[in-house]
Amino acid sequence: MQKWVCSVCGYVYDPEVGDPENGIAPGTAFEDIPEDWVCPECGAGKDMFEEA
Amino acid sequence: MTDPVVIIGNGIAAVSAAEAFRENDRGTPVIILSGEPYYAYYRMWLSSLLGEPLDLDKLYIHKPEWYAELNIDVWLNCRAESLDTENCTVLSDNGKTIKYSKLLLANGSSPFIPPVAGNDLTGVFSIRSLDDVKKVNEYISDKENGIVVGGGVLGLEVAWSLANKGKKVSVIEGSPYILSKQVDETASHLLMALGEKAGINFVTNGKLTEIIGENGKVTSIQLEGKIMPAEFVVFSTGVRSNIGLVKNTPIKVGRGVQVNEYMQTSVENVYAAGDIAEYKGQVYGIWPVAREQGKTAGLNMAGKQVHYNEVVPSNYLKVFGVELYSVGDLCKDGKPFDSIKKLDKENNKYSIIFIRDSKPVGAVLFGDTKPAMKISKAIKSNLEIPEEIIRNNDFEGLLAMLQ
Repeated sequence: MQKWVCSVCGYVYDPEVGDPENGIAPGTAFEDIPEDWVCPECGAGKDMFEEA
Repeated sequence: MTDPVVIIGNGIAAVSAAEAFRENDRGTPVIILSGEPYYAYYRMWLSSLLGEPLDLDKLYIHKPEWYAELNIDVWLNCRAESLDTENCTVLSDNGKTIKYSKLLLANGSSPFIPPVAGNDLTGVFSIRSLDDVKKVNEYISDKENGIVVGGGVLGLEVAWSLANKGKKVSVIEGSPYILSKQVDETASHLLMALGEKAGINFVTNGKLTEIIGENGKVTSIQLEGKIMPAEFVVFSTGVRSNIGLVKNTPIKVGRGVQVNEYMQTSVENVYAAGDIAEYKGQVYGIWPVAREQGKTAGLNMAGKQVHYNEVVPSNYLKVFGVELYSVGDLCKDGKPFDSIKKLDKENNKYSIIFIRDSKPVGAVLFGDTKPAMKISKAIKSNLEIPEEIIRNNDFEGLLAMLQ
């Protein structure tokens, strides 16, 4: 699955890992993450992510 | 046994380097020297912690167990005192001499404090570390009036955080408008208006000449032409690379320690990354650059040949209830440029794309950052914008072109 990277801090969202601490289960595609989710490292919005 | 790889510093550059090194070399010992009593943490969050309890578990980039699992030895509260690049040793402030096979300088930068009288009074701070935040929090708990010197990204974040804690805050900015490096004048004025609504006072063109105190504690500040009461002052007037450590070594230094695309310094087996490093004449001092440079250094120290993949610097800020993003060249050099812009004053939304030779070179997005990545891609790819779209200031037409 496609990984996405935060352009603000460089955090990589890996769908295989998800972001369980913030309620995103492993296996969740980036497109399926709720719009109000923010980068767990820097707090930037979902708009700030680009395909890795 | 091989001498260890020694990493001086404890920020994102250091940790990224250690991680990348370990992925390619399981055997060589790795030692990280951290001057702070903490493992590496998310430094970007510091301003948001003002007036808040500290939760280290949330702040740590990796838990202490992570280092143990990867066999990375972290020496907390331990600073490098001096280097001997001829004998490949680091002298630490706990009196130990460590021999290294490879050395990474990732010892970052420190706040720049302008040399004004009174800058050493109690109640004058800068925010760079968790301990700085602890000190500020302790001091301001029973204080009301604060001054933030510097209206850049950190200064505004600090002001916003303090205002949210009920403090009366004034931001002193030397330029004619706040965030003058990151946005254009229109966006700056919109932002300032929102800050004022949130109760923050701004003094632009403000020249701080003295900090005045009584019994060693700050009581007011002197600007050209006026005095403002102040119980505490926070400086956010930029940072400078910590190049003091490499003085008296042959390592080449400009504003920072100079590195090539492999993050190598002028001395063999010595690398540098992050805020300490100067690459192509630039010290960026921002998180994504430090992360990428650290990773590059770690890979090369492990024997790979990997170029630094240049990060295009952008700015993202969430303050006063609004999000803003800027990227690239905002055409502030006085030479002619074209632009496509859209202003919705009522809803505090504003976007401008800067154009030269029919190509987008920079942008500011205020209030609506949705197209940020599309625009940044268009800048990177030198997209040609049809003359008609520029002439008609056709923002929607431009967006429709971007995929």
